[in-house]
Parts: sequence; structure tokens; C-alpha cells
Amino acid sequence: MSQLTPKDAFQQLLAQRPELEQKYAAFLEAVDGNDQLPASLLALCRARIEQIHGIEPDYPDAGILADLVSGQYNRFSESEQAALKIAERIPYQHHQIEDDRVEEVRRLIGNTACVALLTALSFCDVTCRLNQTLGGLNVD
Amino acid sequence: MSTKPRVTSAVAGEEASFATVLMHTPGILGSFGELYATFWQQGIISQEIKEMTRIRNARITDCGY
Repeated sequence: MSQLTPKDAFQQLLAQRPELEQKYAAFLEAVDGNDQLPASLLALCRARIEQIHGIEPDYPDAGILADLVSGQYNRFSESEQAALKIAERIPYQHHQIEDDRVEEVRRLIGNTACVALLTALSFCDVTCRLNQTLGGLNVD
Repeated sequence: MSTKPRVTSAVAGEEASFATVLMHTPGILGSFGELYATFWQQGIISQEIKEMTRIRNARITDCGY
């Protein structure tokens, strides 16, 4: 018997369903490998969502993480700021994401990257929720 | 909540929908479809229970889809 850790409980549990684990990994690879979506933009937005869920992001720059918490977005590019404004509403204010905000991101990074970004961030939110729900669970 | 599609359809002649918008990223759509089908069609939880919890979740989160 082992206890799932909150940081990666979902991944630990997925390991018990290899086919599902493999297809989930393929899905994440398709998201992360999208050549229209800047990896740095995705990493930044994922970090912000994890922070909102109370999870410490695995992100290399502590200064950036501090700015994300304090809402100091001036250092970020126009597209990063626009994407962050959506990302920070995904966890608990998803109905308050205005059409104009999505349009701004779409205009700045294009349709393909916008779709990839919103899909990736939605699944980041899901993963955070699953980790919090499953963390601490004892499994065989 | 938005009342209109925010991204246009990637399929000529087709209205914007979950699938036609995701077609902007065919690799993501394809891998999501395989993942979703595996989750939905396999495992020890019946499809009835999965569907019931899906509907409950959609109502609580006010999902228009």
C-alpha cells in the first residue's frame, strides 16, 4: 500500500492503466509539440494556474513566479499578458472570461496557437484538480 | 459566459463547434479523441455512471456544451 502524493497523484494513478496513460501522454505531447504555440508562453500560463490551485510550479525563475503572484505583468510581452489574463480566470472564474480577451489572444498568436493554448490550460486545470482530489489516497 | 464561438471553424463550410474548432490543431484533436474514447469505453466504471457524473458536473459548472 502506498500513498499518492498531491504533486503528481494523477500521474501515479494513471500508471495503473497503461493504455490510458500512454494515450494521455500522447495527448500532452501533441499539445506541447504544437509548433505554433510558444513553449515559454504555455509554461508561464501553466505556472499561474498551478499557483492559483495552491501548487508550487516547477518553474525555473523564482522572480517570475513572484511577479505572477503579485499580478505584476509589466515585464511580460503583450501576448503573455493577454494569455495570463485568461489563464488566471480558468480555475474559478471561467465564466468571467470575456470574448474580448480571447479575441486579443487569438489576434496576437493566431487561431491554431489560441486553440492549443486554451486546450492545454484547461487540461492543466483538470490535472491540478485531480491531484488535489487524489492526493493522500492510499492505493495498492 | 460567451454566447458565440470565439474561434472560427477550421473546416470550410462547417459551423464552429468543439470538433471543427479543434481541427485547427489536428494532432491535438486526434490524440484527444483516442484518449476520450479509451476513457469512456473501457475500465470498470460503467458508461451509465460516467454519463451520470458527467451530466452532474456539467450542471454544477454551468456548462453550456
